[in-house]
Amino acid sequence: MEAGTEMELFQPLQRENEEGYVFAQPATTYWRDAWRRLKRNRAAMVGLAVIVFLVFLALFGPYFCPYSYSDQDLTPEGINQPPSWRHWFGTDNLGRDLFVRVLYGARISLAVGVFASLIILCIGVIYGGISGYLGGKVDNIMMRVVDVIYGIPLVLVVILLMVILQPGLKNVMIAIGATYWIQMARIVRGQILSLKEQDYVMAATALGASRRRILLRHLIPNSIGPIIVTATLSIPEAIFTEAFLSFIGLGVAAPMASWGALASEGVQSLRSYPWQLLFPGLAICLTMLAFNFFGDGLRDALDPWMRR
Amino acid sequence: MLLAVNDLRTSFFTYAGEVKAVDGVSFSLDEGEAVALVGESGCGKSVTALSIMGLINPPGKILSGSIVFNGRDLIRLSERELRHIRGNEIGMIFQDPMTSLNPVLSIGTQIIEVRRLHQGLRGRVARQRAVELLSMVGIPSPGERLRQYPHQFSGGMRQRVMIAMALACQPKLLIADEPTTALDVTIQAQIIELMKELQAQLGMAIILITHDLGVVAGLAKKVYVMYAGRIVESGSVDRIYYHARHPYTWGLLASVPRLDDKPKKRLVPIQGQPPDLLAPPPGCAFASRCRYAMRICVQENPALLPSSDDAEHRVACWREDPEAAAFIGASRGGVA
Amino acid sequence: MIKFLIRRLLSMVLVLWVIATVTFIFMHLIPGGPFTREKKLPAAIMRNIEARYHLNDPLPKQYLDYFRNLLRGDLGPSYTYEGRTVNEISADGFPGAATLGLAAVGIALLIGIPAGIISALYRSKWQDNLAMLLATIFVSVPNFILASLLMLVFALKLRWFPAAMWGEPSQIVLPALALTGFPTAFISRLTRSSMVEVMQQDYIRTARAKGLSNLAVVVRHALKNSLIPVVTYLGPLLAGNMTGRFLVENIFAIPGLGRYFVTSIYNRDYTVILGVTIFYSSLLVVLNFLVDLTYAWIDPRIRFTDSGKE
Ligand SMILES: Nc1ncnc2c1ncn2[C@@H]1O[C@H](COP(=O)(O)OP(=O)(O)O)[C@@H](O)[C@H]1O
Ligand SMILES: [Mg+2]
Repeated sequence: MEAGTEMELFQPLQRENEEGYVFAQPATTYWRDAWRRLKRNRAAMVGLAVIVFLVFLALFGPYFCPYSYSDQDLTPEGINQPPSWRHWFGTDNLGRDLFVRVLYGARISLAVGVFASLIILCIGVIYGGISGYLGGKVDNIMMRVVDVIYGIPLVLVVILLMVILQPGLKNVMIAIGATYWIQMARIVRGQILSLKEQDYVMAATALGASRRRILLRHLIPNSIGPIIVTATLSIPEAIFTEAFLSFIGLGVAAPMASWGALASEGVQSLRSYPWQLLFPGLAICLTMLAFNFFGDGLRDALDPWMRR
Repeated sequence: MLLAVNDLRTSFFTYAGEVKAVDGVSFSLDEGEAVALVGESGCGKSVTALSIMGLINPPGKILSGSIVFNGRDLIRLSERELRHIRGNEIGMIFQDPMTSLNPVLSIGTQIIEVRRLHQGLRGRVARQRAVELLSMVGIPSPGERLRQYPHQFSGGMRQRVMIAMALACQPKLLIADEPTTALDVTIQAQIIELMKELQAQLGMAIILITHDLGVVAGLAKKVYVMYAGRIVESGSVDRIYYHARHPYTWGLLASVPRLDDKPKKRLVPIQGQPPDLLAPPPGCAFASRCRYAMRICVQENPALLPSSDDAEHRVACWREDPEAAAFIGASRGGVA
Repeated sequence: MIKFLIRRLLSMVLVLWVIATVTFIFMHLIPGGPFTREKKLPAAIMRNIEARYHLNDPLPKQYLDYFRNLLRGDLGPSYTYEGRTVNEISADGFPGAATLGLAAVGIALLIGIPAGIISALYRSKWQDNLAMLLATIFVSVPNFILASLLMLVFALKLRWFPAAMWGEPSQIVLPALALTGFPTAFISRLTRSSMVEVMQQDYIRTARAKGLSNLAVVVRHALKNSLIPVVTYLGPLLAGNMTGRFLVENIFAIPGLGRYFVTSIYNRDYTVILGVTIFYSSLLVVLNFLVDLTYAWIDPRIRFTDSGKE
């Protein structure tokens, strides 16, 4: 055989030692893909930065302030002071520094947001997971229950629960968590129903994997995207609900002040001391905005339909 | 010549990069002629069809080439002029009759709409014409059916409705994008049969798009085999069925059930995955799946050239190169 | 269709029964009552009061009485508004609440739907970005904050609108605006996302392949479908709007149902709380039913599920 280079081109390809010729596509994983998309979303990144900043302030801010949230100054020069260098956000009608109180409010709001959303996550994933996975009659009954709850305005449920449980930080979280899981349950169920039909789950079933294992190893991990998004977006909802509850006097008890309670006090003196409403109000808006932007960004990044 | 597609290139500019969905496709057909565009899913058949219709949306874009229909280059027409051609001079039907009809509008509304748009037909005349169309495509009690909604029809019936809609204005060209893929085998045959009858009756040209060489024979005279955005082999139905030269075409043929097969014969799907059009490998796109691949196959793309014994039969494969002959020798294979 | 109606009606009755029963149980779960709050009343007076409100009867009897009254549409007496019944209070507060709620949702539909459509059609262009930025902002601003700010700026500082005093048309502007922020934003987001989804459907491609113009495709083929989710959410939206209504009515001193409700929470006036709960739940259930009817009217697949052939 002549060994001209021209001729060698027409030799059969030996795959074993010419692996480099077989082109695999660059393996970008789901998560790396999602993270790249998230990073490109400016609003979401600003939201994330604001959230980090708020968490930082809530955790460490109060230690750098010369006042505590309950320090009163009842002298005429102390109460209802407008914002100044001494009191950045002014003072309230008991002469308490509003800046510190807003910082403490951040602790409450963020704690309620995160923990209530964790409760929502647990209940929703378990309920929706069981309903979607077992299917059939069980699913039917469980979804009827959801329909009934859906027939009641959820705000009323929270209010009723708070009336029974009595105000307090822990109870607020429980009441919100115990009420707002419906959406999560529906999403998890929907995800599971559609995933169940897919090949790899059928394959796992055929190979004799136990139900528990299929649920934990296959179904839940694969519906994690929508779950994360829903959980993230339930944080601002919880923060809002807490503020609402505190506003009507059912939230966290005095002298701790959540933003809702601060705003509620602020409304009483709106005419004369508008800053008493303005600062806690802006704090609520800013936080909700940050979480909403971040959550929306997450949804766009994790949404599998957007892939391509 | 009714339609001449010349070196068409259409890409999608996605997050991850440019997807060259159609990469230099040329073909043509005469008035009243039927051709088939065949290939696995994802090889760019639909994008070719949609390019002809001017229905490529961002992030997609027709980059170059020409699509000359009736003497006019469709790529250079304005949206207004294109709208006049769509549905009027070129009709199109789609793969999934379940989702291609609007679920909230009655069948009648959807059929009448086309005629009203292009011919200003309304009222009783339009209804009458719609009834005729429905009975032409073989839908029983058409007057009644006109008032019904898509979900009240079976898959095959819906595809008939789609055909009626596409033919409402008696177009010169019908593009059928996998018209039978979503249907049962028996229904598939009926739909192909219907298209054949309608072609004989109305004399329109047809581009039949399919991934199933099995449905081609009855309808098309000429076949274009597509792979990874290019045409890799083309020729008359006979040539493609009995004298295919491209290993990919062999693969397609092997995956088709044939009437003359022995009952127990196994259908062989082509091994491996179609290439990623985002980062197409250099050389022949089929090389990584090809049993007969040679070194040159992964280095340079073969050109689409007339085969040695039939100028109408074109193949893009290095095995056709005279220099390859020495190495192929007895290894000549095919649908074994 | 008939079967669908009957099924829906039955489930409505069921839902209301469950809600009423649960609220009744809640009422008796709550430790103490409206009269056992601060100072302890003398035992004789206490007994007197309890006898008057039948609080001494055995629970099953109370349950049956409560239900009998409920079926007659009687929600019972208020514990704190001496001599007034919950019905009177509801009748008193409903018109205000309804006017406000409808005005707010009406504005929300008028602005939200077009904004959502424009957003979807100009996806990722500046129109879309702007509209969605505004939508996110308005979703994030709690309406009681918005109400306070509107009040501060337009009533107290600029004095364009009265700060209180219900009855004049000009008085409805600020509270309606405060209430319309969230639903407008929500509806526009909903419309946008469903419009985007619908525009990717195969039948839209079919419509374009017929040669329809973009406008015709949107109006004839996309609009109806993409409004289905909006319609579906209208019931919960009207009811959810209530959160705001409680506070906004409070802030603007509007004698609406929400204001009574908040007051009754402060006073632990349980019959009012529960009565309003039942009232609003019924409202939501009825609204959801109307929404389902609309839905069936829009979507023939639902209309014909029972009678149509497949
Ligand atoms: N809207 C789009 N965005 C990105 N890529 C697309 C889009 N439409 C089609 N493609 C890509 O173009 C290629 C060809 O698609 P298509 O023409 O639909 O294949 P088929 O031959 O099955 O009809 C595929 O790889 C597909 O991923
Ligand atoms: Mg296709």
